[in-house]
Amino acid sequence: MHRRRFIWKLGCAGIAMLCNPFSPVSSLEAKDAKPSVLRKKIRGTGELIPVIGMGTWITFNVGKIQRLRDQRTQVLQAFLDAGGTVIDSSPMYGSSEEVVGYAITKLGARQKVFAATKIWTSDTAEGGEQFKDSLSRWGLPDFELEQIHNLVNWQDHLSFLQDLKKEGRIRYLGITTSHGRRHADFARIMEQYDLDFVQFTYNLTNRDVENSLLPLAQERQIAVIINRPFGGGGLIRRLKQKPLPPWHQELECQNWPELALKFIVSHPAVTVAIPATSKVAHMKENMGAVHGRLLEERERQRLLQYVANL
Amino acid sequence: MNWKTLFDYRLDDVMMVSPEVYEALHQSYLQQYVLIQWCFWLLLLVQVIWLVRYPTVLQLSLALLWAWLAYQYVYQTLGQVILAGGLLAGIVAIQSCIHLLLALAGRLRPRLLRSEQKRSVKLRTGLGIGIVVAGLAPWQAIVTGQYSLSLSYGLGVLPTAIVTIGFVHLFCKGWYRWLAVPLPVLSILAVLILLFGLY
Repeated sequence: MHRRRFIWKLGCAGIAMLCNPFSPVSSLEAKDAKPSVLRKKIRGTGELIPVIGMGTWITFNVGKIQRLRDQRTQVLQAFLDAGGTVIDSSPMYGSSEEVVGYAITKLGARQKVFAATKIWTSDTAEGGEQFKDSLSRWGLPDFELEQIHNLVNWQDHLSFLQDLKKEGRIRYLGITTSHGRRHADFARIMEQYDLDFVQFTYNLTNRDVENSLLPLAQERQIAVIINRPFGGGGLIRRLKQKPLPPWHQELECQNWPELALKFIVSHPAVTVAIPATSKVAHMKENMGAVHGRLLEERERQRLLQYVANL
Repeated sequence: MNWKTLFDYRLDDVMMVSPEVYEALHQSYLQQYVLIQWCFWLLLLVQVIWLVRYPTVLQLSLALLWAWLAYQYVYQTLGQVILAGGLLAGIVAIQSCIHLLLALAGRLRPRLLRSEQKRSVKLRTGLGIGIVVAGLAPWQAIVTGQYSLSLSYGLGVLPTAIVTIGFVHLFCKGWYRWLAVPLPVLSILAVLILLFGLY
């Protein structure tokens, strides 16, 4: 080979390595071409998703009240504008799926969302119907992620989800729990079955999973969604009444929601956290955590100690 | 069927509605149906004053009231945001059927729907008016201390249940009256639990 051609190819290979998000040069996190949207890799496929998503429990259950539907559409707009994509919902959440679908359609955002919903029925046959109903409510042709909600009838629904994945109707499948429920069953399923995602609760004051489900997810290369990052709202309301740590600027966090979320998503096993809110101002606060940098372990421990002493 | 997981659910999981949405639903319900609500209350008041000798008509009015509650309030209004709105509406509609049965039974056995003879007509009229007025109170606002819920009077669960329990005891006798009481009592409890969870 000519020397000039060799150097040219070497240069191209180097540029390709730097641009390739799957490259060993980049770690689990990578920064988007746009300014600093923190993303993490879904270990199975290497797909990158922003570390902050949006939950819809209670917050988007507004029925047919037009004024509230439009207001929630603004909340979704703020979420998307800040670089968010992952939206999590469920048929259990009342009219939330329908309202999310209304907002997505109104914003023309079908291509911009990573849609995650759940199957929540004890009837095996009804699982298929519920999947179709969810698609109709969201106004989408398919879902990125379908999960079994709170392990309800998981044995039968898991095989249904595996079939959906083979058909290409979903890209990922998973299971969920919350409030610290059924962790033993959850761990057993994680060990025995091939899952793409798991979802459970983890936050500054509820760290039960640190020694169980989180390391297991990391070992099994399962992506992790964290629900109730603010403890259902109670945690963040209490924290907001306390002063910020004097060193919060070092962590590049401006408020308690950012600190609480950064603590969670900086755990190496966590892929995305899904706080829920019904207010645009709170959404902007939450999405502050999708920018800047992740915290190091010593910073997480420092924050934990500070909160424990409050 | 994974029965174990059913027992995982707590009050937290049932509270799927925020206070903001709950209040907005009631305001919208009141604004849409304020005229119908006043018609119902006037109908009951008129019957209490003029038709107290004909409790069958009152039972039919209560049957209509509960049918309205089941369809318009539970199914169409609350049903927008609660799961199994149809099922709950069906349960509430049973109360309507009970009043229809009582009305029919009253036609077949007129003494069934007469309260004790020692109660005078005037006393029953007075008590009936008192019950209707008590039913008009904004109980949700009183119970929760939330002024915004003072708009949700009228054809809601608490007023309807209070009026039903009062009228049934006023105009029925014997063990038949107890047929019409359990559902209103349960619905009062359900609303109180809901308000406790929300506020």
